[in-house]
Amino acid sequence: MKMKAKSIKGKSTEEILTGLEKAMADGFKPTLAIVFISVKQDRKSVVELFNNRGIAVFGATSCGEFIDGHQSEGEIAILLLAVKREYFAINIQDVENDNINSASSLIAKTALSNFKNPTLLLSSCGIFSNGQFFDGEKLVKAMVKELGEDTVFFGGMAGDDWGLKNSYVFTHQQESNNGIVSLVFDGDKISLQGMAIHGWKPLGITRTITKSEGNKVYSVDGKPAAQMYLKYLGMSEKSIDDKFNVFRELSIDFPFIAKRKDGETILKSPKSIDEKSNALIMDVEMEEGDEFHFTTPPDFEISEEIISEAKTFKNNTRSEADALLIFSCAGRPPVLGPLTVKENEGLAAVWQVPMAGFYTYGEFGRIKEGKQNFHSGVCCWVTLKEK
Amino acid sequence: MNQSLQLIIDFLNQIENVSVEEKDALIKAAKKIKSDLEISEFKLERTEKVKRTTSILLEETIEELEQKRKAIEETNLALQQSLDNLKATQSQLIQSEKMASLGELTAGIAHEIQNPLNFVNNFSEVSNEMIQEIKEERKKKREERDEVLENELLEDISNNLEKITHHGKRADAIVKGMLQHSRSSSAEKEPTNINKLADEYLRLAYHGLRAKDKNFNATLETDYDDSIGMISVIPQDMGRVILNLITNAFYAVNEKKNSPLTPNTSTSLSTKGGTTQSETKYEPIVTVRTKLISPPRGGKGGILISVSDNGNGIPRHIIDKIFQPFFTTKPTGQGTGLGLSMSYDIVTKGHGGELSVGTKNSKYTEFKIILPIHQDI
Repeated sequence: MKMKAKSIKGKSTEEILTGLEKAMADGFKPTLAIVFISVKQDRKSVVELFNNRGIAVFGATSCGEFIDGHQSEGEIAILLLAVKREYFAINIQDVENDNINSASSLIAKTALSNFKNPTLLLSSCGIFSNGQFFDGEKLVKAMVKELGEDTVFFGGMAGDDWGLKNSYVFTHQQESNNGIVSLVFDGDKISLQGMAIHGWKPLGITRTITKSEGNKVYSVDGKPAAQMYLKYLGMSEKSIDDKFNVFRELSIDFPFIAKRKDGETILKSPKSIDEKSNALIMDVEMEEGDEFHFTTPPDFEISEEIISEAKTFKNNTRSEADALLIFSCAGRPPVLGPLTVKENEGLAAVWQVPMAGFYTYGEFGRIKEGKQNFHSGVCCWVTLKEK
Repeated sequence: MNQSLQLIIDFLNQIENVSVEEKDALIKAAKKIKSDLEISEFKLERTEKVKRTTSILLEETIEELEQKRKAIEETNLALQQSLDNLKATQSQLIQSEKMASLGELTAGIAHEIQNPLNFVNNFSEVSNEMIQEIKEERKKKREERDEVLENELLEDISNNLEKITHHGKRADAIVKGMLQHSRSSSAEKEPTNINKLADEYLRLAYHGLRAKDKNFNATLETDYDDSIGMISVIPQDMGRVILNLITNAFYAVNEKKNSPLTPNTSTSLSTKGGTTQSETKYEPIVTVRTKLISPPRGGKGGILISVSDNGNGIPRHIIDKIFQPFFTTKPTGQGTGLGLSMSYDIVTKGHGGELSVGTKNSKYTEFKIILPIHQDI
């Protein structure tokens, strides 16, 4: 079976309407719209547009969005799917009292009540309304606990065009500024396959967190963390500069690379410096005793590597796809510039199906032959195929 | 550069005397150049940025590592000094262990030397008397002299001198053995009669202890396998091991004998039921035995040297520690704690053998040395 798909884009609700009408002109009847939209756009009117036509919506705000052949910032990118309504369900859950575990468990349990063998696309708010970062590690752990190790899910955290104030997830019925949205497919009917790659490489010697609390890192190898990080990356003079944005100007290019207990690696980025304690505030918690390395950004060949891995995967598994989604870290364009366009377009060319994606504040997926994990800095692609 | 390219693209769009296909191809090529140029510019800029940052990071890391290296060097120097001191102390302790075991032997050696010395003295005295007798005989007139007697006396003197020489050599051998025992330099392996070596050290240790403690007594049981023949070992080292095990065995049986819990006389005890139970007097026994181990599956086999005692046995909680250096259960000053660890090294590292222990609480302890028969002697 082949599930029909089309991708549309626009700078406004009107352009989306035009694109939708054009897409449906040949009799294409989408039942589901996967919407990646800038916070600058009118989400409500876009959602209403689909709602009025009985098209379900799974959506997230973006930090740059794209479809095959078009990249944008501050616009809208949508993947339209004509998939049987009995093959999918959409759920949304607020994170109450900062309890990500509880909300994630509920999302997983609902998925299991939707289908016996669920497979999911996920998006969570990247930044809560209180400015706090969403801890994707907690989400993945809670989900895997409920769903088991074998259940596949991919996705990304919603962005807000680098505003770092609040990001949103939404459906055709509801929106959340602190929640998780899931698009649950019947795994017996729709399959998801994909891969996540980042390309950052460890540099220098192993470092150890010597004092931390939650996502605040106070000292590394016994030295004050923020002071050391700035000194080692040639930014010592910035420590007294109030306007210096450690995330945008430094850690996007030079995050930490830490080893997980399962042997995989994860990028962890200092998001800011706590003025009172001079601690590094990380996007993901780091415990005392955790080891990591400073990094050097991906080589320019990373785009070719990502595309080549996708080709190999396609050939080895003899897989086909009906549509392609890409959840690429918002940190990639500043580091890889036009090469990110190359990798997105290259992936679309490998699968030769309609594609949509957005730049995220964190990714959910699996590295090659890896486990279900939360990632940062990766280009995470996933194909959708009706069985 | 990009502006120039844009100019070219705009110009291409405007020119009319080329076909649409050609125009499209030219515009596509120009756009490709533009894209490639953008990528190149980006790569150049990023390379500079990353190069600058990574070189600072590496410089800082190198400086940090240099500081760490210096600190490690200083620590190493201090550690080396401590290690040198430790080695010096250890070698002093090892030497003192050798001297301590030599001390244990001294009384035994004195006892052993006393016997040949007695013979030498006695035979010398008797021979002297015989010479006097011959002299007396020779003072007589020729016809009164008993030549047969003179010849008999001379023959006896000759025999006595042979015995004096024999016992002198015996004393010499004992003294040489003692010197070998205390020698610190490592010696070569040589064909050795293990049974004889074991028996010699058993007797030396026993008499040594008896000389120091008149009350000490133990039954010595031996069971030597004569088929062992000559085995290639370093005799003074293996002797040291056997002596150490035998001394420990004597210590164990003596401890048990002197314990207030050990019955020293045979008694009959009446119980409430009217029956009688007899409590047997403790008899200290130390056994040394040797045995040729038949080669398993065509191997070269080995020999077993066993030293056992019927003392109190070794407590379970210390059994794993007894071969560790400096571990001792003896009161301070009475043991260096190096005896068994040195023995273990001599047997395993020096001879490629095994040293193991078997024990049962209140019943026995048995140390087994197994030596491989590697060399053709």
